[in-house]
Amino acid sequence: MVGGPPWRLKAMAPLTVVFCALTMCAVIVDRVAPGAPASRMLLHRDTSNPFGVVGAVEYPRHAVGVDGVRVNLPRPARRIVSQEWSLDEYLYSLVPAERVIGVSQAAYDGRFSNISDIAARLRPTIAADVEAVVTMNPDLVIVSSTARADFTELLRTAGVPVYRAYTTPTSLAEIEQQIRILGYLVADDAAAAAVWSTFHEAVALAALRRPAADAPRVLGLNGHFAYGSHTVFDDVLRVLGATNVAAAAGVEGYTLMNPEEILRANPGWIITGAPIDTEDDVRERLLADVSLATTDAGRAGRVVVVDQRVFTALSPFTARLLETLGDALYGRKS
Amino acid sequence: MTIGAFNALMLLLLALGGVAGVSIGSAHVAWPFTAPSDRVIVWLIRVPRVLVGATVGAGLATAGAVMQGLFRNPLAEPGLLGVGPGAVLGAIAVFVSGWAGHMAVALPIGAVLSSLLVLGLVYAAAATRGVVPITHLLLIGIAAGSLCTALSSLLIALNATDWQSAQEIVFWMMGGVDARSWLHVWLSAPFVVIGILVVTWKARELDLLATGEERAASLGVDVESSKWLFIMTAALLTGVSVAVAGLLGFVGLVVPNAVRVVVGPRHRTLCPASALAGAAFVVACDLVARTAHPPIEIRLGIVTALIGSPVLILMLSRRLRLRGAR
Repeated sequence: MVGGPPWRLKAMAPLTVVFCALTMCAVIVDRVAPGAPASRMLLHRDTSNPFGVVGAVEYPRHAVGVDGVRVNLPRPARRIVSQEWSLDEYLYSLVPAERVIGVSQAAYDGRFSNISDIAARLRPTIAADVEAVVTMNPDLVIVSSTARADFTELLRTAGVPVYRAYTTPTSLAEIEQQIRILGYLVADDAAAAAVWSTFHEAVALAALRRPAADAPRVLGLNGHFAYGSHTVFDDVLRVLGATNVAAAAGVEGYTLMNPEEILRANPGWIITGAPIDTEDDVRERLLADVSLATTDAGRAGRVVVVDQRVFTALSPFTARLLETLGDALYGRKS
Repeated sequence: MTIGAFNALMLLLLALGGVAGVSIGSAHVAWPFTAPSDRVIVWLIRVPRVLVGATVGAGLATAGAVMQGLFRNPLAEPGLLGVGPGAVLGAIAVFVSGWAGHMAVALPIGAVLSSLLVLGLVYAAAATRGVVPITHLLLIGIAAGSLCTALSSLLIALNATDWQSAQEIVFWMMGGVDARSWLHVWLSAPFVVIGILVVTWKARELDLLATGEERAASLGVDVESSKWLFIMTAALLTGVSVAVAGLLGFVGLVVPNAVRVVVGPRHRTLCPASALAGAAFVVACDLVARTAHPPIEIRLGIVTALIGSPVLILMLSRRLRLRGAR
């Protein structure tokens, strides 16, 4: 065999060349992308204030999305498209339903969406792909903070105003903040204020419901995933004066919790979600799990199965979780 | 069928697929696309999508042909050296770091760099005193691929707490050319065209390598340099393809094998014909992916696997029957 050049040179040279070439291509294409509206180049990026609502009360209105891109609305948005399930719920809470012309596919799923009945009645288009969105000729598209940038950038290149909203809240305050931002952007001021006020009152009322004796020790489960600290569920328990045993055990976020940890945490209550009409099956399945059945909650049968739509809501509908959990832990309000 | 006729047929199929790909979609557009929204849909959404599909198909099929020649094994495929899993690992790292949501270019660049880094490490680990035995390369490549897959799974598992991001990752891994723009065309097409030209230009050396390294060396081939060139080219073709379209199974495996039956094993004709057939195959599969279950698109990787797997099984069973008959 004939020896070649040193392998390091062979391996590293193409890396450098390709990196430089790709970067140059990307920069060039980004500057000359066909159809890119000139306004796109002028958009102000304010990453220091990702949630910041700026501008006057009257139109035009503008807000900076979590990607730092500002969206301008010269007049009230009448043709709004949502690309994510919790954003569907925000929009239907904030604006007249007929203004929402496009929704996520999940909006039609009655197991998970709180607005599926409205969607089934009004049949908004499913914003499944860029073509479908462009065809709707929307004056505002609201996408999730977790959406891929190529989807968002293609829409913007096509001249569609896109606002990227934060969709992974970790507290009730962030949901309130989202109501304010989206309300400012899409709703009448009075309607937005009413939604915010209703939500805020639900939180305040829940905070009044305090345990008679010791704080209930609660474990929130969704399948095998537990709700630890820095989750909306944890914040709901905090407001209700309950103890989140997962958070107390050091669990952060929404993550798998192993059976030994659950046993050691020994919750007095287990809260989970299930689609309507499957609650009994889910409760039975949970109690068949030895690690759950041997906890205080399992032995006392304190397993609360909440409507999945209420349990997983990350929108104004989260107010229902406050009420449902308050009723479950402290008894129904008279 | 002659080679010329086959190439003409593939070109025709590619052209038909391209026209159908531009004309058919979730939105109705009318020729000559004079309405502003029609122009946007055609020129900014559908044309780049078809071009990315064709580019990726051509790249993966050519990479497959090169790998099968180099490893002298019809079951060799572009992901064998850990390049595909390496690209996926880079892409997932971009996803979990949050860059995928901020810059469209971050995903392809992360994937390509990661794939080339993995290839460099595989090449370095397989090298012994300036020589890279093909069996070492193969075994270390498979191990590196498994390692990358495990690391990718670990990253997904650790970040499954944010299920929305996890969903994006899983969908991306299933492969697809939806929401692809001219940016993705420019990021992939030049490299794929150059890759195809390089392997076609050096096809004679690949033919000789396919007969064995010692024989190739005795006929004047600089074996190590040639191997490096072909492996780098295959890696680049695979890396950019995975970077802009995610994982598309079976294209690199099935297409060159099917084309070889028609045009024969000579790489000067096999590589361009595979590129054309791969392009036509992926464009056709994408058409199926977006029209089979409206308004929801089936992921392209699912369609290529659904079509590619039975074809591979048929080809293998036919080969086994022929071998049994001898």
